[in-house]
Amino acid sequence: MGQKRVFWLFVVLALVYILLNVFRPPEASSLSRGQITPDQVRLLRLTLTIPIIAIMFIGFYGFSKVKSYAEAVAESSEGPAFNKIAQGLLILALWIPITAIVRNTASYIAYSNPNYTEAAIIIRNYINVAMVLLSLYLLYQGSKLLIRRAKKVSLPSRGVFNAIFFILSVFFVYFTLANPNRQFPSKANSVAAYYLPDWLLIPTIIVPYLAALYFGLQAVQNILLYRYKVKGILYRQALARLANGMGVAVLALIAVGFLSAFTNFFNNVNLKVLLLIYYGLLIFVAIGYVLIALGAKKLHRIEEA
Amino acid sequence: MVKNGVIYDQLIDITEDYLGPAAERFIDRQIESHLDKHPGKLTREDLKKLTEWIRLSVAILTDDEKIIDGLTLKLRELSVNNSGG
Repeated sequence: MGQKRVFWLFVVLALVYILLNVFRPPEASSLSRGQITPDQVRLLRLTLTIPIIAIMFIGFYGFSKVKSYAEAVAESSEGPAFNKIAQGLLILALWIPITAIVRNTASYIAYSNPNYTEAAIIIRNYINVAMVLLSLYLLYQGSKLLIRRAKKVSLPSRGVFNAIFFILSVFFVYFTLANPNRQFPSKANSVAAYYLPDWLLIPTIIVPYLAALYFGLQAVQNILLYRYKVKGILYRQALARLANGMGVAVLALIAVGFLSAFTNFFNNVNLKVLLLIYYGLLIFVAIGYVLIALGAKKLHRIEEA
Repeated sequence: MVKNGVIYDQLIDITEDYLGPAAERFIDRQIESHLDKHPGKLTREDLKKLTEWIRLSVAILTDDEKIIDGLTLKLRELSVNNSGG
């Protein structure tokens, strides 16, 4: 898909997101939890729409810069690697508006037609996990192609990354399965987190999410290693921003995934705090994309000199 | 045409320390656009002129004089070592 088409896709998604926020009635749970009026909920939503749309377009900007660079070096051996990374970044950038739209639609369905709540939440969770998995898998594939090009490297940090993966996996599995609200709604929360029995939750949500976590951490490790091991002072300087940006964006994305696993813990937390954490993480995704765009622009300048 | 000249290879080796995987593409562009010839036809007589063009192009990429001077010095050494005089 050409960059222009992708841009217009983002415009359409932004419009859909704005319309959903303007016309969707506020949920009762939001009103009781945050102790705010329906008008305040609408105002809060509209206030939050602007930063989300800004983050969406920052995501598109980051993707477009990496895609342009990938096209500039398409004939070289790095071309396929950067192309895969651009594809992964596109899915990750699309994940922001699509999950926002799906989340709002699911909330609206749950509010206006409670019979469809289960289906809406299940579809929302599967779209979320599928996009996260696909985006991180593509980034992992691209980073793997890059690391093959670098000098033979000893990997002392593999142990550290494996330990991080193990610890995060244990936390994720524990908090997901310890959530009493995972299959059925509770008194504290009128909507269940997954509406799936454990035998289905484990293979279709937990395992794919752990795979995404693995691919994400591996991608970050590979790109950082490539940045340290590849030859070229100026090339490394340009790549540093791209590598750091990818690290920030991927880790923030993983943290957003963890947020949903910890819903039980967050039931006792004020709605404003919950939103603050969520939007804070999205800002980190945006910071990651800005760094990615700056790095890709610098790499592209080398190809134009 | 095959780009297998000794001078060309030495040029790439030096430039790789600064531009990494982009070095070969960078050198090819410099030769084609400023010397108006195919990279495979690079001769030792071209090195002096090419060094100055490379210096100018690298100065666009960085303000770090150490990097610019370091690369220029290595390229000038290559030019002197291959001058045959």
